[in-house]
Amino acid sequence: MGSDPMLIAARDPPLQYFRLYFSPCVSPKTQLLPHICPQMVELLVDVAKTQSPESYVYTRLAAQHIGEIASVVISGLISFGRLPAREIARKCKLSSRSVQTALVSLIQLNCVSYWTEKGLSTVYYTLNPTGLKVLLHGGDVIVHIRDVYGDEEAEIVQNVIENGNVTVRNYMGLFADENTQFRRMELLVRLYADGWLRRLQPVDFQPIEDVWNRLFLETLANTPRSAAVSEVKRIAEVKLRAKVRLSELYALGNSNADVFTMDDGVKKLQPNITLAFNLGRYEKALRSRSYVELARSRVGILTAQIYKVCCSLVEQKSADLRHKFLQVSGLVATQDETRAFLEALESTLVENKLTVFTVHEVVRRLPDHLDLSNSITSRIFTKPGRVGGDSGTPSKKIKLENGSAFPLENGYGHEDIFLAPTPPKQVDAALVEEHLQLLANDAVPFLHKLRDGQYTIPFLQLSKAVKAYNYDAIVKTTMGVEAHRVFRCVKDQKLADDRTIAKLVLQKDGDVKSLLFDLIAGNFIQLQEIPRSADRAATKSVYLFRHEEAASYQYMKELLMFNIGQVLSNIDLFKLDHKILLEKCERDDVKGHEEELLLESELKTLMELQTREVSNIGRMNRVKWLYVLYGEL
Amino acid sequence: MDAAAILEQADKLYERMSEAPESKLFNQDELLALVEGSTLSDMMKLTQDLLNRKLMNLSMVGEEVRFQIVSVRESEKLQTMSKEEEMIYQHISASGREGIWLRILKSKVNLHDISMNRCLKSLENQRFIKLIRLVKYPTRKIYMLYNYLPSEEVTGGPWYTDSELDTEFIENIMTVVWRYISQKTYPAAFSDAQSNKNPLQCVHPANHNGYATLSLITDFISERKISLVELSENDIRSVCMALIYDDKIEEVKGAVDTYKATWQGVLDSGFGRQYKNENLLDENQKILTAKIEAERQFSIFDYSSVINEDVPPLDVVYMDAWVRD
Repeated sequence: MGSDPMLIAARDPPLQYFRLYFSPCVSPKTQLLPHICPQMVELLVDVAKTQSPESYVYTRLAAQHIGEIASVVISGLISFGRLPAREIARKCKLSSRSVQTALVSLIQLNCVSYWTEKGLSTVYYTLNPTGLKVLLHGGDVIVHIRDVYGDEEAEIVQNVIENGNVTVRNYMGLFADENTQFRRMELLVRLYADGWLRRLQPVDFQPIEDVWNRLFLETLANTPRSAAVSEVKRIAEVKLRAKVRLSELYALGNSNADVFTMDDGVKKLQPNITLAFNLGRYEKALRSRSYVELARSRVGILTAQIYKVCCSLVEQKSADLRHKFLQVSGLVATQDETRAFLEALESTLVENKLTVFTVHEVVRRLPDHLDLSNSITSRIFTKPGRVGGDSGTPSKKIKLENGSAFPLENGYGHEDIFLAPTPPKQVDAALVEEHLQLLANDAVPFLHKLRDGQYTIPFLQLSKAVKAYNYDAIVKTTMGVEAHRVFRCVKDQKLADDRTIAKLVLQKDGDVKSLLFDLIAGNFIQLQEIPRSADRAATKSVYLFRHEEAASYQYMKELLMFNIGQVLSNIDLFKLDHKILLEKCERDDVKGHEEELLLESELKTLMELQTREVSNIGRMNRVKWLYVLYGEL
Repeated sequence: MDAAAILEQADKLYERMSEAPESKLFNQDELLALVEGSTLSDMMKLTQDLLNRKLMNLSMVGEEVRFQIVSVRESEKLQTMSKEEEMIYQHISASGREGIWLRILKSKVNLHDISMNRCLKSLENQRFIKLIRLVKYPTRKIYMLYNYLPSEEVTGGPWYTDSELDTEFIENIMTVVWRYISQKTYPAAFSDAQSNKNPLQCVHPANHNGYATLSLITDFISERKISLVELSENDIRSVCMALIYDDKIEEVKGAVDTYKATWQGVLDSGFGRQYKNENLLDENQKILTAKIEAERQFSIFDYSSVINEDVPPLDVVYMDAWVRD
């Protein structure tokens, strides 16, 4: 495994990186420490690298988007946890002023939260990964919005991401023309209604753990002790009430009356509200993408297209990938509790019909040119041939009174009807239902049929299946098909010894042992020792193999996160190697006149650098996609 | 009863006993019933005669003595053996098609190693016994009668040739079984484009019940004489399990021993890609596939269609770098 390069090679267009996609109305952030030396960068990278994969990626992102000082601040906050600005400066050996400047940018971009204890003046800063994740996904988000909505919507989202947040009044002030203002407001309303933008409120700048603690302590103080109620029961009650208060606090100011206003019958956003990008909404889109890809791999290309529509119908109203309660440590303590909580959440959505859709809704939303005819064998009827160039199909004839056959001209026969592109609304609902049945009856629970014509997506079960199938594919692509067979056998058997596995997979004992060793080395499977003597002698022990999903997925997540960090730092490092040339290109007198002012060799190097950067960004996006499956889903 | 009469009566008894299968164990009463009018003492003389001529074996079943005939050929063999050889031979013979491990044989006959080895060598040279290798424990010396075929437990079943797992044979059978199941699952994936099948996808409905069952696959394999060794349903089941582990097939929900191929398995094997052939598509399908291709993003399930780019050594990222770096 150690010698195999990632087999995730370039195929999809490696674009999607929001720094390459600047809009002219927003100026890029200035680097806080532009003349940092390469040695210093390498040192910073090494420190962050050894800390944790998260630290590696977050510091690189902060360095690329905000500056090296912001990167050091992020690294410090990850190392030491919650700190006041003075302490950050002391621990990171930076000046207070530069730390404060960096913190302003980081808070603006939702990368850092702040908190003040009641009655104290000290402000504590905590890392907020949400903003950094938005920076990580920035390019993909913009491409996704462009594909779903259009260029203008993509530009709005890009502006919001780049600034961290945008006040409606300020944003509308950028446009002098009334028509443009009207159009932009329309787009803003649309993006808000679809969940891509959210209202930013003061509580969003505060760490949820601290918010919860304050609410809990306040509720506890307001709940008197009673001789009739035990302390355990009292705490449980307090927890319950504090949960309700927490939900209310985050829902506050988000009602339609607080956000929208009607102006001459036109729905508009209140000018005083501040908008930020809603990462949770994009995560839902990523979840849908993973489901559709699995459907394409398990059922087929046409069914996947239908399934894509099913996902889009319930995507916005489905449960968030990370509920607020799950972000507070200890609030939902065990894995079983978490599962029960999420299941309850999902069934509530189904009961309220928020994640339920009908066949007819699917039919209405099917894309144009989706031709489902002859895709299900039970619904194939004898029709004239419609495959392009099918010259063998006999032409239709009518019998004349004199007994001779007269061929029908094109335009009168049925062939013409079938050769013309099928209008989208002519899709047979029964045929669509057949495809939905395929999804509902598949080994992977893509859909759950509620009653005739009504379906829902079992998100929890399906996310589990998505992870499992992708993990299988990772094993297959990195360890080989034979290891894949052994791995799936271990999974199926739950706990088995090497001889049993060898017998089941029909492979030689020696080969299986070596494959098991490789799989253990990659942490794909785990070893369990069954001692057979009191002294637990290794020679007498039996060793069994098992696959523990949670441990393996967590490990995979860390590996992939680290890979993202590696690609990001690779980009930084090769750019640093050509720092002089790149700075030269940034000079005002050179910009736009590169071909005249640069040597041929310099132009060639620039071209190579660009290709290398694009290729690395493509690689990062592929690794990032796998990370999303294990880190976000 | 004189010696000639005993001989005659003993032959008669042997003949009557031979009418039953050779493995049958007779008790005393059954023997008495075979020779009319004989007394217990007569019967003792007859059995003693047969025992002397090595035409009969004695064995104990519980508290009771049982009698079993030995074939004439076998008895001739035994007569040529020494006492030790005979003892060893009897034990090996009793082990049947399973064979007997040398260590157990030694503990049973309790002979010195030298005479033990000499006897075994002599029996082997006369082709009365043979040494076989157990698939489970290849280092163990197992002895068995020369004319016996080792049991499946010993040989490992049809998947073993000369005590070695025949991976090539297994792979071939797996390919045939997979192809059979796939053709029953995806009617259009393996044939040329047909006008009544959608080149993008053509599958059976959810309630289809014509998928490949275990008995259908077994019959197909035996009818087509694909294997020289006879394969039972259990053997085919183990092939199907290996195919399930390969994610090439899966069990049909709600049906026993019924299998269908996975679409990913079909794609991995290079089939089911008619949608990439523009000549087979009509205008609508061309537009749709172009749209799908344009929106296509990275998926690890598409790995078989990915071309590995030439990565500069410094840009190579290893998946396990976090633990190895």
